[in-house]
Amino acid sequence: MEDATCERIIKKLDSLIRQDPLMDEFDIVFSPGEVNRSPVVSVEHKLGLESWCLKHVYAHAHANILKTRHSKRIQDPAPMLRWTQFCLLVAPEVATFWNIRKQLLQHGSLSVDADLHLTRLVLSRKPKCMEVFQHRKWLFHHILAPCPSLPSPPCAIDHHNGSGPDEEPNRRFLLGELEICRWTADKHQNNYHAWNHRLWVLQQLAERPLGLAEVCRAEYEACHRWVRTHVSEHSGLHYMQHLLATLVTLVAEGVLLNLAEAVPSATCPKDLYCTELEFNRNLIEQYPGHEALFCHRRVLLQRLQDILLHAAPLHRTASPPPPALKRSCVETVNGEWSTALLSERDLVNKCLQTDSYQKTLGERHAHWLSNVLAV
Amino acid sequence: MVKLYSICVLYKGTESTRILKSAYDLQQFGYFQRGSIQEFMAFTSKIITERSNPCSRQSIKEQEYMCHVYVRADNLTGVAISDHEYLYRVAHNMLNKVLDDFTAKVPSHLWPNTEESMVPYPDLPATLALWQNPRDADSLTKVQEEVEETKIILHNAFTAVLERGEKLDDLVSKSENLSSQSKIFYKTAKKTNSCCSFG
Repeated sequence: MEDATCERIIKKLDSLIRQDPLMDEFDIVFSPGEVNRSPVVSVEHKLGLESWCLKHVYAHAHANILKTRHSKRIQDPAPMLRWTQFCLLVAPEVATFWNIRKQLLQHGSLSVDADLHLTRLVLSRKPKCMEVFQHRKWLFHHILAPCPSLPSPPCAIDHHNGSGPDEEPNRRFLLGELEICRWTADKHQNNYHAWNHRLWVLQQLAERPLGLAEVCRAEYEACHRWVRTHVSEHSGLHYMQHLLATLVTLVAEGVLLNLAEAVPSATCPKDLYCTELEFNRNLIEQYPGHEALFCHRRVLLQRLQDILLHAAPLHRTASPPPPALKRSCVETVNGEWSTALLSERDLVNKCLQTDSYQKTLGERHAHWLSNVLAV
Repeated sequence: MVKLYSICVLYKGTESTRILKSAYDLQQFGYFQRGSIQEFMAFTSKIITERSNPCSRQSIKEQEYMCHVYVRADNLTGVAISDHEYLYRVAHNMLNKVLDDFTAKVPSHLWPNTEESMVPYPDLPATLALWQNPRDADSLTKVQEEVEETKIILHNAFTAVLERGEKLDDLVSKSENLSSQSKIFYKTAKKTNSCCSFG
C-alpha cells in the first residue's frame, strides 16, 4: 500500500474524531478487504476501521513516528499527533506512543480534551488496558490539577489550578472517572485495572470534602448493586473492602460527620460490618460455589474481630478509635463476637450439607476459622 | 457476572427448526460486534434445538457462556444464553414460564410456519430484562412448581451435543444464516484477546 493512501486513511480517522466530540466507540471491523473502498466507517457516533488495512497503515505510522522522534525539534506536531493517535487506537499497550503525547501535551501542542477523548475511544475497544488508565491519571495530576509545588506546565489551563472555587471542574472530572470505571468493569470481566483506577479516584475524592457524603453514599450503593450481579469477581469485592475501610476512616478523622451520612442503615463501624456480613451470607447461599465471596467474608470477619475484641482503629491511620468503641461498650463486645462466630458455624454446617464445590469451600472456611481466628 | 444474554422461542419441526421469537441484551459488546454476536446466538440456539430430543432439559457450557435448552413434548423449545454464574435452575424455571406464556398467547397452528416478525408475542424483551435480576424474578415463580434439578443434564462443552463426526467449525462455514462478516469474526475472535495482536 502506498504511503499516500496510508496518510489519507490516518487523516480521515483524525478528522472524524475531531468533528464528532460525541464519538464514543472505536472498534476494528473484520472484513475480507474490498478494493476502492475506504476502510473507515462511521455510524451513530461509532467509529470502525476495517481490519485489512491495519498492517500496512500501522507499519507506515510506526516507522514515521520513530523517524520523526529522533529529529531534534518537531517542527509541526500535527502529523506526529495523527500517527500516534492511529497507533494507539490499534495498539494502546505501547507506552512510547503515550509518552510522546505526554511531551506534546506539556509543550502545549495538544489539548487535554483531545487526549481524554482518545483514551475514552481506546477504552471502548480495550476496557482492560492499563496504559490508558495510567495516561488519564497522568493527565489529571499534571495538566488538570497540577500540584501547587510543581511549576505548572505552559499549557495548563488557567482556571484549573486546583484550589478554591476552581475545584469544581476537577470534581466533575473525577465523578466522570467513576462513570468510566463503571462501564469498563461491565465490559470486561475481572477488570483489575478499572477497579484499581477507581481506588485512585476514591482517594482523590476523599481529599475533597465538598459533597463527599453524597459521593460515598452513591459509591456504597453502586458497589452493592455491582457485587450482587458479579459474585465471582475479586476486584469488585476488593474495592468494596477498601470503600468500607475508607468510610470508617473518614468518620474517625471527622471528615464525615457520622457513618449514617454515607450508609443510612449503620451508625457505627460494627453495624456496618455486620450488615456487610449479612449481605455476603445471602449471596453465598444464593450463589453456591464462588470462592471470591468466601475470601471477602474472611476480610469482613477479621475487621469485625478487630473492632469488637481489640477496639483498635482500622488500617492506614493512627487516629483515635471511633466513638462506638469506647470503654462503655467493652463489656458487651465479647458476647457479640461469640454471636458472630455462632452464625459462622451455622453457615459452615449448611455448606457441609451440600455435595458440590460449596462443600469444599465450607470445609476451607471452617479450617480458616479455626486456624486464623482460633475458634 | 450474573447475566442473561438472550432468550429464543423455537419450533423444532420435522424438517427444519425455526425461531419464533427472540430477544437479546448485548449492550456490553461493541457496536460493530453486536450484529455478529446476535447471529451467533441465534445460530447456536438453532443447532442445539436440532440436536436435543423432545422432553429434555440441558445446560451446556461453551467458553464463557452457558446455553440452556428445554424442548417440550409438543416440540416448542426455549433456549436461553447466559454466563456461568447465572444459576441453571433459575434459567430453566424461566424457560418454563416463557413457554407456558407463549402457548397461552400464540395458538399452536401458527408455530410451524410463521415468520419471526409475524408472531404476535411482544413480551420477550420485557421478560429478558426482568430475569436479569434472578432474585426478583425467581421469587415470582417460587409458588409455582419448580424444575427438579436432577432432570437437567449438564454438559461441559458444546461438542457433547454435536453428533458424531460433526465439528462446530464446519457447521459455521456451511451455515447460510451467518453473514460472511460473522464467519470472519468467528475465525478471528479466538485470537483477539491476546494483548498485542492487531485485531
